[in-house]
Amino acid sequence: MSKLETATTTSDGRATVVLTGTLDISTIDQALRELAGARAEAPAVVIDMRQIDFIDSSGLSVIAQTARQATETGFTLSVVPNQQARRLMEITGIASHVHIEDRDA
Amino acid sequence: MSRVDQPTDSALLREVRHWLALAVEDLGFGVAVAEAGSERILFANRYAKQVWQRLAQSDGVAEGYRGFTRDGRPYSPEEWPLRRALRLGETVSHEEISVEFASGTRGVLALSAGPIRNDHDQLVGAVVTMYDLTDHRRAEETLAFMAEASAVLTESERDYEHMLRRLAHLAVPRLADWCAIDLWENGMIRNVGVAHVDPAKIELAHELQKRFPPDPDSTRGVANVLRTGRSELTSEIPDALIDEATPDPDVRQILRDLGLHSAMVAPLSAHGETLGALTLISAEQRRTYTADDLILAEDLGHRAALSISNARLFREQIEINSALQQSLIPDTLPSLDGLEVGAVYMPAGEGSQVGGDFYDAWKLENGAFGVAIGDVQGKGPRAAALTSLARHTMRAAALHAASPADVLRLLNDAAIRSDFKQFCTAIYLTLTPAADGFTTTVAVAGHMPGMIRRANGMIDRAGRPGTLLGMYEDVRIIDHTLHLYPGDALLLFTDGVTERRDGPRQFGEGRLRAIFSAAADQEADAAARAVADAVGAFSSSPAQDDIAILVIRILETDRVERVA
Repeated sequence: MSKLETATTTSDGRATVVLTGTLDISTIDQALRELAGARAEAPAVVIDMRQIDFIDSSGLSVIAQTARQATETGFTLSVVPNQQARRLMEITGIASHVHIEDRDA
Repeated sequence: MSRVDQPTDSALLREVRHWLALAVEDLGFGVAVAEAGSERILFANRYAKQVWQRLAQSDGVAEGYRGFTRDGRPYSPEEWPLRRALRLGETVSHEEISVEFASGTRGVLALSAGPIRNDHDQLVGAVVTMYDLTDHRRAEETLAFMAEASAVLTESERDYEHMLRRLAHLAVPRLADWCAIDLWENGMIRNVGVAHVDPAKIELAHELQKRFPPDPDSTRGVANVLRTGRSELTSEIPDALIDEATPDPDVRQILRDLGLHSAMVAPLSAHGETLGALTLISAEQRRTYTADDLILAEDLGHRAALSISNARLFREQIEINSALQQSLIPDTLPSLDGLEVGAVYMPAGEGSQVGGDFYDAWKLENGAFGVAIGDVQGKGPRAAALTSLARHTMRAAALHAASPADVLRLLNDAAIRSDFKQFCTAIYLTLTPAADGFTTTVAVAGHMPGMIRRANGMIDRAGRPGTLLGMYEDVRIIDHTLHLYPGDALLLFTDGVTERRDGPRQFGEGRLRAIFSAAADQEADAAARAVADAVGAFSSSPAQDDIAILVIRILETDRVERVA
């Protein structure tokens, strides 16, 4: 079984990428590939991280890189973090640069 | 109609018998028929005769055959399938027998036999079929060997001598009775592996090698293959060749006693360079090597050479990386009056890539000090370039920036303009001597804040969360000023510490706090080492991330005086 599972659903011009499992150095590329696919499908991308059971700072670079691409190429990025991801985003200050959606886990 | 056909039928029957005899004669397996009682061979096709000839038997009923069961027990004459069919009326289907041919070569025969009974159900004879499985078995073993050899050649990347020794052992006894691997190093032939089924003979080989080291100028064997890069096949080793090899009668005798039968030497060549030689010798098995076997040996030699070459490149890479890494962290930390600074740096992945963690400490004006720690996203040359930029920018910015937060803001500008497209996290702090200790101003950018263990055991945080660097034009970075008293110890670390994992468990801040609390009264170096050891011992799996740990201790005033 893979450490990370990814699934993208598109509706109303928003592509939602649900990440499930571990987001660390070993799964970064997989997550970035899925996000690149999602960007091609819709002008707005949502990263749903509520099913993530482990994320570290190298995993956080997925959000950082996507956030930068969002600024550079002009798509909208929203993140639905879990507690661990939210904490990392606050430590690194990313939290104040991406749109955070709070949804019940 | 039938009357008319009768004569034609019998002509046809004769013809069919003739065809049958021809067909059986040329079958791809052996067929023979023997008479009961006399046990005389009445018929044998070409294949059967050839097999017997190779077994050196004129008569095919197993007189003096040398055959063995799979586990090595010899067959008695009564046990051979044809005998059992002739004497007992037994039906034997596909019995595999290891045989020794007259040439001394070992082989495998598959034999089947069955009784022939007349109309009165009397046992009148028996038929035996035989098939020589030697080549099949050898091909199977060769395939199995190549599969195992491939695994060995790819798995042990670093220690290629160990890999070559394992390869030599794998080749015995499947490809050879002897296998030796020599490397060509600085004009010398150096043996790195010898394998033989009998350990006593390995001793003998080492003894021979010690007494008669290989002559690099020899026109035969390993030396010649190393020089020319071309393989050598000696299908049969005549005594004359042994006599030619050495004038020493003792050595000749030893070589003869070894019963060397056939030999191949293949170069270990890759990228047009010959790195060594692979020697395969058949002795006890008396296998005669062919041009096909030589192709196999050459292939093996080539693959081994590629592995050696990769391992050497890898080794060089590590050396380059460690040199580069050394340029990212200071050789020695400056001695700072009133302070003790200790540091530990542990790269992940055993140095195969340059990591992105860095730290630094230097003197500022008026007895103050600047201290930095940081972590650049990713690994490799790009990360190293940003790391280098970070270190030097901070040192330069520290000269004229108004505050630590400003230093990090300048670094952010530099990182964004550098187009590295990579981000980094960092802490920069200043330590300024004050009455009863130091005043410190801490700026944090996307990094875990520092941890202060006060002299009374309390734990404080040093620094307020701020935005990481290299991503956004506008960053929020705060100057956090606090006082450090003698006996206080400040810990700065990278995320490789808190994020170290053991299965689902993380090292975490709580554990770090407990360990640092217990270690903070030791000297700064020992305290940093204690934290590093705890992180290392937390999990048996190799670390995924670099680890940098910096400990700063404010010395007691009386100790400062003693030092001064």
